[in-house]
This record gives sequence, structure tokens and C-alpha cells, in this order.
Amino acid sequence: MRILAVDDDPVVLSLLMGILGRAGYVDIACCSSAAEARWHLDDGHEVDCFLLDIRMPDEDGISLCKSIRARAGHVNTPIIMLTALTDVESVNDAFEAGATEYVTKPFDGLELGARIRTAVALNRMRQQVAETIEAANQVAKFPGETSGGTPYEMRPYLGVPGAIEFVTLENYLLRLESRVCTTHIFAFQVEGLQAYLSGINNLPARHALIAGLLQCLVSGAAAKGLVSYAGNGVFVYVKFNGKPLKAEELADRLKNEISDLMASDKKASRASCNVKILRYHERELLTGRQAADFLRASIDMSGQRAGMKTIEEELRDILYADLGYPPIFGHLRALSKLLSAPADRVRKTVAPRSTTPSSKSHSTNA
Amino acid sequence: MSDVLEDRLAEIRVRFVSLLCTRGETIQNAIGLIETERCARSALKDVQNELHKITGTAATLGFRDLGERARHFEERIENCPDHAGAELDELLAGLKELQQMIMKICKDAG
Repeated sequence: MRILAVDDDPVVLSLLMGILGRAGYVDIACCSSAAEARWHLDDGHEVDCFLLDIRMPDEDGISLCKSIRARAGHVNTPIIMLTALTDVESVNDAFEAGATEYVTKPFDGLELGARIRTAVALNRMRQQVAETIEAANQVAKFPGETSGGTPYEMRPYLGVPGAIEFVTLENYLLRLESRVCTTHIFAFQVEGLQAYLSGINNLPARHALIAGLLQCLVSGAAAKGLVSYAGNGVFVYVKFNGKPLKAEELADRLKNEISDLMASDKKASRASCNVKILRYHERELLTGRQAADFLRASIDMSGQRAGMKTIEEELRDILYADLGYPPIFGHLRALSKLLSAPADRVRKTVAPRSTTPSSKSHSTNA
Repeated sequence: MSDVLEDRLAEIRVRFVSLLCTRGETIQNAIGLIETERCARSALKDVQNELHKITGTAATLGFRDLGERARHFEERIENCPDHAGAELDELLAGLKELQQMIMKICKDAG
């Protein structure tokens, strides 16, 4: 694998060469500035993974990250920010610029090696799944989403600005680690939604329904936050600082939106239109890790995830969910090929649970 | 840890200490500037940049205490860049201790 490390500190570059070399990464190019990194790319050098420092003179790593993402060949290439900065703004800026991972200095060689392997493996799998789904959509003549154009990590989930993929949200919170923020975090479950979705065989229609509910949460929030769909009818909303939000108000908006969306569907049962607030924290001081634990606990409460899933299990779920029906012929071959390589068997890295402050629960019936 | 990596780290550690001595001098000059002219903001920014570099690698190379102290003062400057009065005096006292710690590491390394 070809790695490009960019850091203005020669000691860091020497350390990376030594530590990564020991981990088996020998093809490492080093640049001491963003400009030098650009020349490296302009010269036609191939790069499979970037390691970028954030604080550099002249041009910082965030700006460099954005410009790398703007290059056609690096829309999905893993970019790992390697920095001593751990404040929320830096983490936010890094992810908004398209970073895949965020590792804080001082770094541990084993952890860094694992992060690189995981980022590259996840990226490869995502591309393969996207290609498989794209192929399936074309076979079935579904006008599905395309896989190119926008960085995967920051692509609005289902085209809804402010909504991101659930695994990306978890990753984002874990990167905040022990940083404490005033946090609003809610988890809602639309009871019966999963059963309703399973009755829709049309992929765009399923996506449109979920996108509509995500849009409802985004527009219902008083200010910018992050919204995600965790599956099994569970929606989550996370916001740092700012004005306090009322979980009940958002749940009511969600309930009304569902009523409107289902009103035109004669098959939909009004009895299933029930929004339950699984858990919430309003304006509480939480660390990023506590917030991530909160999300996982919410999913456990919904009955969707009793334990950790392997990447393969998650990919199967994604493929099943996105196809809307069991994979057939070409899809199965592609999936089999995708899952056959032993090197791809990577278990998702999940940080150990820490003590989560007490949370509340509430339910709202339609 | 393999001998090859240990040797490599030893070389990097020597380089780190060499740069650390230069950084210690920069910090010392900045402290002097702040004490004489009380123009804290730009000088503190210089100190913060040097501390940031130390924070990034010190612990990995075996200088855990130095790295933690550097991070502590880097964050203090970051969170309050307009130190003044007694608060500034307290910060300067802490930075002087850190600078002495750096000089001791340089002296021990010869």
C-alpha cells in the first residue's frame, strides 16, 4: 500500500517511517507541507492512504484534505488526520473536509496500523458494495443513487443535507473521545416502520420514505445538528451546544410526518404510527465516547443489535436493505466475491464502554 | 520491540532532543518578550506552536511527562489567548518550569 504522510515536523515523519515500516508498510512518501503534497500528486504518484497533520504553516491539513477530495482519483481514498489537536472544532472541520479517520498524537504504532488497515478495508468494501448495488439497480432498472462525485464519508445520507450514515456518526463521536460538550442527543423509534418498509419492494420508495423522515428531523431542529437512521425504525439526532431542543417536539414532528407520508398509502396501518422516544439527553455535558455509548445503548434497546456485528454481517444487511429483496444471481456472485477474501475479515473497531450518565425515556403515541 | 526499530527510535529520539533544545530557546525568548513588553498574544502564539510540536511526539519517544505538560500549557493558551495580570504571571511561572525541564533534558543528553 502506498502511503503519503504530510507533516511539517521532521520528527513525526521519521517516527511514522519507523513505526509503519515495522507494521509492514514500506511504501511511504513524506512531504513537509501541503504544497509539497500537491506537487507529489501532480507528478502522478499513486497514493492509497493519506496521513495528514492539521496544524501546518502556510496551509493546514484541513485545506489540504479538501483539495485532495476534490481530485477525481481520491474521492474515496482514506484520509487519516494525525494531529495533536483534539478539540471539537478540529474534529468537526476534519470530517467536514472529508477525512475518514482522526488519530490523535502521541500515537501508538499498533493503533495507527490498525486504523490504516480498517480505513482501507472499509473503503474497499464500500466501493464494492456501491458497485454491486449500482449494478443491481441497473439490472432492475431502478434509478438508484450513483457512487461517484461526492466524498463517501461526507455524502448526505439519502441526499438529505444534515443526515449522515449511522456508522459515520458513531465514528465521529468516538473521535471526540474524552472531550466534553454540552450535548443534545435523542433516539426515536418509529414502531412498525421496519415492518412497513419490508412491504415496499421498490428501493427508491423505501429510500424516499426514510429520507422524508430524516428531512423532517433536520428541519425540525432549531439549529444545525446531525441526524441519522440506525435501522429498525430508529432515528437519532445529535447536536452540540446551542439552544436546547425538546425531544417531545421533535417526536411530534416525526409522528405528524409519518401520518402525512402514510396518509396516501391505503395499505398503511394508522395503528403502526407510533413514535417512541427511546432515550434522550438534553443539554447535558457528555464526552464523545459517552455520546457514542448512548447511541449503541439506544440501538440495543430497540432490539436491533444485541452484540457486535462483523463487517460481513453488516454488508449483508446493507445489501439486503438496499436491494429491497434477497440478492439474486449476479448480486450473490458479487457478494460472494466480496466476502471471500480472508484479508477482508475485519471486525469493526469499537471502543470499550464507559460509564454513561443516566438517561430518560418517553413515548408519544399517534 | 525489535532491535532494528529500537535503533531507529533511538536515532529519532536524538533528533527530537536536538530540536527540543531549539524549541526550548524559542520558548525562553518568548517568555522574556512577554515579561518585558507584556505583549502576550503573539508571543504566546509562538509558545503554543512550539508546545504543539512537543505534544505530538514527546510521549511516543519516551518523554511522557514532558508531552503531558506541553499539552496542558498548549490547551491553556488555546482556551485563553488573552492572558493578563495575575493569570499571565501564573502561566509564565508554569512555562518557566516547563522550559527548565526542557533544558534539563537537553543537558542530560549532552
